[in-house]
Amino acid sequence: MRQVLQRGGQSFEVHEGLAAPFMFDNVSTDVIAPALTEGLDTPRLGGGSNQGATAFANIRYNADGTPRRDFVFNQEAYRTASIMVVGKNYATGSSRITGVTRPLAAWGVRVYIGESFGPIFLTNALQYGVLTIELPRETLDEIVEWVESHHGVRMKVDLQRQLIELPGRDPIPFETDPRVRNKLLYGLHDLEEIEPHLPAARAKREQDEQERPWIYDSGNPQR
Amino acid sequence: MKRRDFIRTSVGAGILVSAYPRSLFARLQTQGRRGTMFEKIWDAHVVANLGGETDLLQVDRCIDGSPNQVMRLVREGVELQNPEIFYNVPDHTVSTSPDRYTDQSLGSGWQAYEELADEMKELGFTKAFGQFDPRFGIMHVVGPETGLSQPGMVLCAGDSHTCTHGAMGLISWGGENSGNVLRTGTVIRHRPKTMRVNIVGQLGPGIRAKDVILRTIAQLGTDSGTGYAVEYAGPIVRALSQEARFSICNLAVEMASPTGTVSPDDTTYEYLAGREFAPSQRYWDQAVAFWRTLPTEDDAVFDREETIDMTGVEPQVTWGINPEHAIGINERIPDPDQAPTNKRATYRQAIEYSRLTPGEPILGTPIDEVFIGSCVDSRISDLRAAAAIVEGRRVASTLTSAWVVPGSNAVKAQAEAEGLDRVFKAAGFEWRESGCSKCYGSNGDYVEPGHRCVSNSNRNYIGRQGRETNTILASTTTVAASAIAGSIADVRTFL
Repeated sequence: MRQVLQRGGQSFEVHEGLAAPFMFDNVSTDVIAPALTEGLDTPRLGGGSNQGATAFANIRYNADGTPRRDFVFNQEAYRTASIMVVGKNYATGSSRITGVTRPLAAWGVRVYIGESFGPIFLTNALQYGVLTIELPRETLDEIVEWVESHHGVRMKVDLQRQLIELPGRDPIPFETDPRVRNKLLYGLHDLEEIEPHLPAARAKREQDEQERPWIYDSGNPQR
Repeated sequence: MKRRDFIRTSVGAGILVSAYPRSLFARLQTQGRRGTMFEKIWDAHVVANLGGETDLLQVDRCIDGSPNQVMRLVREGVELQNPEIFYNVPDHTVSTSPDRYTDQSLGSGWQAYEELADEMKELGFTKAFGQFDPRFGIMHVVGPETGLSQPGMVLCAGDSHTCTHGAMGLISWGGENSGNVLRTGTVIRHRPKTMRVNIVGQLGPGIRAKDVILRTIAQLGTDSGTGYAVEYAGPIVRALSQEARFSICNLAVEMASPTGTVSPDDTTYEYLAGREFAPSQRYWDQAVAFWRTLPTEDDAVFDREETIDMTGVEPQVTWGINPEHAIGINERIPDPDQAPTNKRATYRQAIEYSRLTPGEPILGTPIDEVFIGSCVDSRISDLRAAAAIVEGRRVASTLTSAWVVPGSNAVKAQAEAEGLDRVFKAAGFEWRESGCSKCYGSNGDYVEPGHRCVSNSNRNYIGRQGRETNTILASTTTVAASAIAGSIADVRTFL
């Protein structure tokens, strides 16, 4: 998993794995990657210094540290899932890179399929080569129905062909922003995308220093 | 296609799209929505189009919470851009205990901050405000307060509440990696659609900006801003003070819009005048003339318009586990079985987590703690309003904690000069140092497990303020009134 946690340069073409349904709306990064995990006995939970042990801590464990049976990844059928099917506005709230990396470390989640995502999550997920797919609620409900009746059957997410393949039924097509898709397919880092435009950026800055000098003079004790 | 080939192709395509037909493209794309402040500022900052609706934008200000990025890149020998556009405030890593300046165990890593910040300043990154600096505070209070956030800018940071600065008439968002900005002075950004939220009607007694935005989110939904940059407008917003406008824009991200804005006006320019990093006398008139070109035009077209009528709206409090779970103080806890079908699962989870009973009044619900602070509402005008409520009264003896955390060292000093600290202390509040504190349960500042806390902050998600804690979001004055009552209170009975 360490390899996956490296930022940028992660390519994504096809992922095959088990899916877990988590159909709540507005799940915040406060829930996914809580800031405060004091009092959690993470070594006993098999975590040690591994932050994955604290992913979803507040809804994953009882007060005594035992796993809650109603939390999806604690259920036998979903324990090794690497695809999450989620509701609306998933991972809303704080920009926590840990909102991406903790489930990655804990379960190796590589794909999120949801109705919509939080305002900052999409950017963060992309940084770690994690694919996010947006689909309408009806389609998600169909996927969940398939998942719940096909425990142990792996689904295949093919970014090259933009298809979700569910054995035993027609594949489900999805769309991704062409730029995001290329970035994932080729594992491009933001800096590689920016670099060719740096001369233009510098020229623009020089012009701006003439046009809006006050932005750059701020804090100059000599003024 | 090989990776390298892709890069070459994308460069070629970039030139085609950006240099030649770009202006035409831009006209076509924005024809229907020209005239908004957001589009004017965005368009003025485009370095290049990266295909589709994604642009490379010039950044005018970038905020970071520690010098680590700068120093790491410097040690790697990377050439860094425009140090003057950066500022640095370690608000998320300090304790707000009065002992923090002497007790090495409090907070996380401020000693290292001080050492690295000194090194960083020598490299030209001079705006580093450690906890000892009079300009230290919560980054979203500090930026406007020191004049670093100015109309017309593109401002970004890692923290999601960076939307707060949009109240200055600039465009801002969180979730950016400062490392990339340090290296290039730019960010890659997908152009959002635009939405205007018109706030109309009459504000009743005791209603503050926080009530306005909680009501807005309750009405539109906590995911309503997905894909949009929001401008708050209308007669009520126009009449609000600059400080109150920050409270509105602060919660834009709680309706899932990373960007919240208000078109600038004289209120904005007057607020900015004379602040340390505001344009100097030499450029002031030139700057104001430029700022006056920024506001959204009368005939501007937004992709979406919403109207919130505040007439008759009561003080707002949340009962559940996300900010749209806000109701009037005299309303009852909703019944999940009566909720819209698509909200039932979340409502059930919320009722179970909040330990409240559907159908019961929220008014009078017992509480354990109160918190006044955060980037929403911890500026001097907020503290004055809270002090006016608690003056001559006592915090209920049943409360285990009642904190006031000023938004910055400057706010704290001003409040002490006015004697507000004495008012709070006489009432039984704890008067703390500045920082993010209990808003997100960190650095030893958190709500105790099992406690219900009325808080003037911005998030009430499960576990936000600490493990197994229940957060009731409310305005600063509702928090103050609830502290006195020992239960969720109607501030209007304290006016």
